[in-house]
Amino acid sequence: MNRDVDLLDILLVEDNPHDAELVIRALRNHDLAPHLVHLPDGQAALDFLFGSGTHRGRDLRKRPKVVLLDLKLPKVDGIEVLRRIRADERTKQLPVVVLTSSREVRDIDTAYQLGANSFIVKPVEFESFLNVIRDTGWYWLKTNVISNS
Amino acid sequence: MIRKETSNLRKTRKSRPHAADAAGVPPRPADAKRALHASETLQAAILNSLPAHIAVLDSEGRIVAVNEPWLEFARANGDPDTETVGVGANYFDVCKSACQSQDPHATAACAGLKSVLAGEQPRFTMEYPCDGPGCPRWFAMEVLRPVGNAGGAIVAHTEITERKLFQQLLAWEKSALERIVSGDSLHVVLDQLMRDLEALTPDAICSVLLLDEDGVHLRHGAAPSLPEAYRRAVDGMSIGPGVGSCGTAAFDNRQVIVSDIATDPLWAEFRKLAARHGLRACWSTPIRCGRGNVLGTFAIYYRNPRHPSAFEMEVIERATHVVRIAIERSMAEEKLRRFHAELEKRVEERTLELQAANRELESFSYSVSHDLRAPLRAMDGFSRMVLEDYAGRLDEEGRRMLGVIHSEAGRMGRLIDDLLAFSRLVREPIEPVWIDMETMARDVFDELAARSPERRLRLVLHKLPPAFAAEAMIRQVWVNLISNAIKFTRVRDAGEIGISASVNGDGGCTYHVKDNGAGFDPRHAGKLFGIFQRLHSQQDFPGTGVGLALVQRIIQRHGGRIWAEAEVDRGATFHFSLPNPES
Repeated sequence: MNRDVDLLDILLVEDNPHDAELVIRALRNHDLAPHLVHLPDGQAALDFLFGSGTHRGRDLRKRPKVVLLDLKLPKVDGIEVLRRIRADERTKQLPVVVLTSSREVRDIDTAYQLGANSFIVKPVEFESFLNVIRDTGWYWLKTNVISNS
Repeated sequence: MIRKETSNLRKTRKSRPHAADAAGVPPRPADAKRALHASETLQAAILNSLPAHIAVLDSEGRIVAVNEPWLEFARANGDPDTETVGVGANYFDVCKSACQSQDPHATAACAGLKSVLAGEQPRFTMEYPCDGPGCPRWFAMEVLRPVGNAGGAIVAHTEITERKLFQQLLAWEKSALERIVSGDSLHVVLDQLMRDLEALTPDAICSVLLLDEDGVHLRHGAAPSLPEAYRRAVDGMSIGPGVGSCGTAAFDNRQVIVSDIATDPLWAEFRKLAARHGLRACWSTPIRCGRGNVLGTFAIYYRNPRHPSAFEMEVIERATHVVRIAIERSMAEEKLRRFHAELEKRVEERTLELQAANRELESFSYSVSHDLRAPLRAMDGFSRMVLEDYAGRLDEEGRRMLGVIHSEAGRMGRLIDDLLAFSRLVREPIEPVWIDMETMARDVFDELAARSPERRLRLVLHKLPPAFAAEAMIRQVWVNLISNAIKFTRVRDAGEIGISASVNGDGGCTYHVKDNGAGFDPRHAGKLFGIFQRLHSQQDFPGTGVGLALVQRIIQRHGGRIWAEAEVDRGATFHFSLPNPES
């Protein structure tokens, strides 16, 4: 949760601290994402991405390789965060992976319509959960090539 | 009396064979004369007692004999000089004036008579109106050729006014009934009924008043020929004894015939009103519904004092009956309309309620799917993390306890998944396709059996008719029923599952899934399909209690039925029916 990292791998937007802890643990287990920022609500995520509010003056060149975005978030919900990310020139190409508990068709459809790169349902069962996070981290950080523009 | 030259008549009759001749006994001259006289008297009596006006014409059209009604009619119609219409006159002259005025009936009568006299046809008949003083009259004219070769003709005129009036009344009734079912509003229907009736009864002014629901006030129904001001004055009037003809008729529930408004005490309070509009007679009849209650009044007004004739009484009776039908039909329609509107309102209300409930359910299940999973994930995850991070400090019992947390969290997760699947099913639309049930049942069995390779399972699959239903849902039905059967046959060395089908009376199908498993106590069969209801302990047969509820919901949504029968330890059979898609 270091906000002054030079290197930035993942922005995790998750309000449930235990879920966040599990995600971070799963990633660390596999030595993925040593540089991770965790923010607990949608407003904080937007401030961080656009250098506003408590993140005023942040060097916006430091962009995460991927955003792991929960949908049910306090203040500004995940769908709105996604919409704002896609609406802004600076972030519209940013890979966003929706990581949520729900398998609701409505959420899946909306997320993809708004330009989510992936939609992942967090399993309840721990082993499955570890595997899903490991695969996700592996893919977006090690396999996927991002645009530098 | 038949005047002069009755011999002509006699001649025609004489040409017929006499009864005595027929018997073959020749009559004696004196007897024959007496008999002849008697016969003539009888013939005259018969001819004079006929309602028809009869004249006998010679071949030139000259009248050679007439009966008494002929003369009476001539006299009554202002023809005291019977020479012009009586014996000796030429019948063509009689008709001439009418012919010249180009009355089509008179022209036709002349032509008909001519053709009979000329022997072109043996008989000519015609019905014609005759505008005398008073009401219009109708006559039937018949021209016959006398029997024998004497030539000439017999002309008979019969008054048929009454028959004509009844025919018109009947036609009015028929068209009135047609109008009643036309779908027009009651006022439009009654208005037309009254107009048509007035055309039938000259000078009559017909009206209908309707009794309000309060049973006190008379409301305007229809009166196309009553002055507007009079109509307005009557509209809303309270019924009572001595309130004109209609108010009294409605109040007393009896017919009130007022022949002269100017003198009748019932009109004391309304005499001036009637006089102002030139109304002198009013015959009012209550219109009663089937139970005898007054619905309104039907009235005929005249501008002169008048008492109804027998025919007019008949008109009143029939008109009242027809108007009653119109009113009752309109009331029934109104009732139906109100009922329909009420029903529609109720449906709308229920729909809104259901929509609200649905929305609530949707947000509930949305919330469940998000919020209930997270704590479970934490329970499972953190217990596993303890196991990983503190393995060295945990003994066997500690690990077992953490294992319980893990497995219970997993079960709770499945419960939530099942619950969500169940609630989703309520909302998902059914898009039916033809399903090969036999293939589907076999595939599902193979798939499920493959997950339990340690079990000895046998499927006895009979021929299954295809079904027209939502594919994914019906697959879920097979999965749940077959996995149930596999689960509950665990107590046997070899689990045997029989699947068959039978065709129902409606052309639909019932599918049967039979197993040789643990069965259940039939006393609890009612609970079988309730959500979260379980008939076995978690230890013996684990499950969430959602599966059969889900199956039932699917079958019900397809319009089918599901039921089961079993005995403890003797296996169970589940039956589900799907209706004929064509019915």
